Amino acid sequence: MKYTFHVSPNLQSKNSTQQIMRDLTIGLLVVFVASVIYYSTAFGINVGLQAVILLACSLVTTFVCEAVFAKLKKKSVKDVITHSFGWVTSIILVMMCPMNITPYAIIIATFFAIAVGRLMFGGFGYNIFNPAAVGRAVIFASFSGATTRLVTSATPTGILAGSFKWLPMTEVALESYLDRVGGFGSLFLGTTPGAIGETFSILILLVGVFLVLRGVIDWRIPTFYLGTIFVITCALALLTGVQPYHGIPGWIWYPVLHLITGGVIFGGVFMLTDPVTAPTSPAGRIFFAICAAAITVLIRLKGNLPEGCLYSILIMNCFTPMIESALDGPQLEIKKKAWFMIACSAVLALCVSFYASSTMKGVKGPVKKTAQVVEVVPCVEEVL
Amino acid sequence: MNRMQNFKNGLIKDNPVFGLYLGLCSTLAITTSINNAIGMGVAVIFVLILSNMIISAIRKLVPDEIRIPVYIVIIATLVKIIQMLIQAYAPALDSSLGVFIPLIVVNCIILGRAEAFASKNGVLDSALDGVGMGLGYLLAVLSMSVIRQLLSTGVLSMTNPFNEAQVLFSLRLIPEDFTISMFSSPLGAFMTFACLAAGLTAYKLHVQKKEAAAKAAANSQEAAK
Repeated sequence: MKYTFHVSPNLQSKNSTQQIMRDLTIGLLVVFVASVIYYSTAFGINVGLQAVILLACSLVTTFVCEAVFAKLKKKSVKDVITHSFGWVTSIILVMMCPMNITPYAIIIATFFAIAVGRLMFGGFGYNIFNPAAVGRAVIFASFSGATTRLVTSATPTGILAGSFKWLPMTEVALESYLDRVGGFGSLFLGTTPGAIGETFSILILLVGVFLVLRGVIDWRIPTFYLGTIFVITCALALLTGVQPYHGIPGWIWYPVLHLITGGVIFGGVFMLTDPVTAPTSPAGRIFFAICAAAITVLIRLKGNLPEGCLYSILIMNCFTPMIESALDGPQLEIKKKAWFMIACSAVLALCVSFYASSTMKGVKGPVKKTAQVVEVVPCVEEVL
Repeated sequence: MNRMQNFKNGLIKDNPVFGLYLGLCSTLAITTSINNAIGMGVAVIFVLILSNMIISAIRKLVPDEIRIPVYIVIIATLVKIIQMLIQAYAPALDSSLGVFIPLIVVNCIILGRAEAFASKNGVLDSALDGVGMGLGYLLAVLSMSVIRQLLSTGVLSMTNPFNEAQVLFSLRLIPEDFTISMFSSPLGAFMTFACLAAGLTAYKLHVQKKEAAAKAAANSQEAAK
């Protein structure tokens, strides 16, 4: 009998980083292609082409940045580019942007995402913040005025945040909202204007399931993120007494509306799950996702921004090292602490809905399109 | 020779902002335009030279236990003088610098130089140190404000601080569509500061390496002899 000795870790995943990133790229490209097809058919071929141009600009900037970095560090250019997976960042960044930003804006944003958000921290695997989110925040901070006039209609997020304050209370109010965005069906399918990749709820969820099955992303983060948003808004609907819509009780349609409007599905599936910036332990990931959901809903309901997904991701990324060190150590001893942390975050999340329900007044009547003044927030400010 | 060294240190090697990380609060806040930077820089130079001179002149009279309050009183008096002068002769500058003029009192560069240099050296040396450090501060805020103003507005411009209407020069280098407004916000300030400080550190390391190499070469030559 022969004994062999292996140094730990002994339980290794079969997936290599290369394989994971390849699957992720395929998943992202599927959504991107769907988006290009939708925009080309709905708004004309030049709008669809604009998305492709933006992606090309972003990819070129990424590769140039990484090549220059490799030259400065005296490393092989090919090695740096193939091992830092910059294209994933640029695809995600482009998909988070609205269609009407200029190519110049995406070039600057990609530069900050790659050079400042990733390479300055030490390259792939060392960045604190999700680099794509950093790039999106740069666009938000710098280019909210500089937009092209491609898609001029208001987005569902803009309408819901601007005219309805995220809280349509009655059947009439919801009806007037759905009239303008084309009903629940188009919200689910994503045939509404918005950020390039964020609107395709069903498709993104399907891609998410595929990625979970392939072992690319952890099921816990999207499930708990979207689940917590559902629970918080469900509690809010019950507390404020949102009325039923065609027999569907308010505590069901209102949370669903929160999930399919805006970028939470995209953010939950593609951005929070970034293996570099999310915690590594399962309990840490659950805590991370619940807190991110609470922040998202808080920004949506009480903040100045129309949508809070991006900043919730960036804020929770700051806490990742802290979560990691809190849940580090012998697993049996940590278990109790982990449960305590998760319970605390759950209570915190429910506090958000109590707070929102006690301070918010929902929109009761129908809001006509004349209220456009409120909604002409430039699309860029709808942070994902 | 030694005196020149005192003066030169403040400019590059011990630059108060990028080398010693002193006085960052005002640096980050006011570097949105060249006008502000020059106004602030001149005010700091004025306070720094005079406070250094006064403190080094009275350094033997002041008991050690109460030196900090004494320094603060001297610096605060000088700052009040410059604040009133700015209010009287350059009201536009006063309104754009706002609270950061009175805050020169607690600027770490001034108290730091009083503690570290003026309380131990003669009047002339202290004055030279003040000039060097002050110019270093001016250089730092000026370089930051040039970068920030250029990137956030695309225009390099300066008006006469004593007469708002008189534009000394105004140069559009970047078209309006290509400006990055982020650089006028605190975010841009921190980013510019970090890049410049990193640049100075890289330069210092480079010089150090060169000196070490020169020393090693000299040593080996001596050994060969």
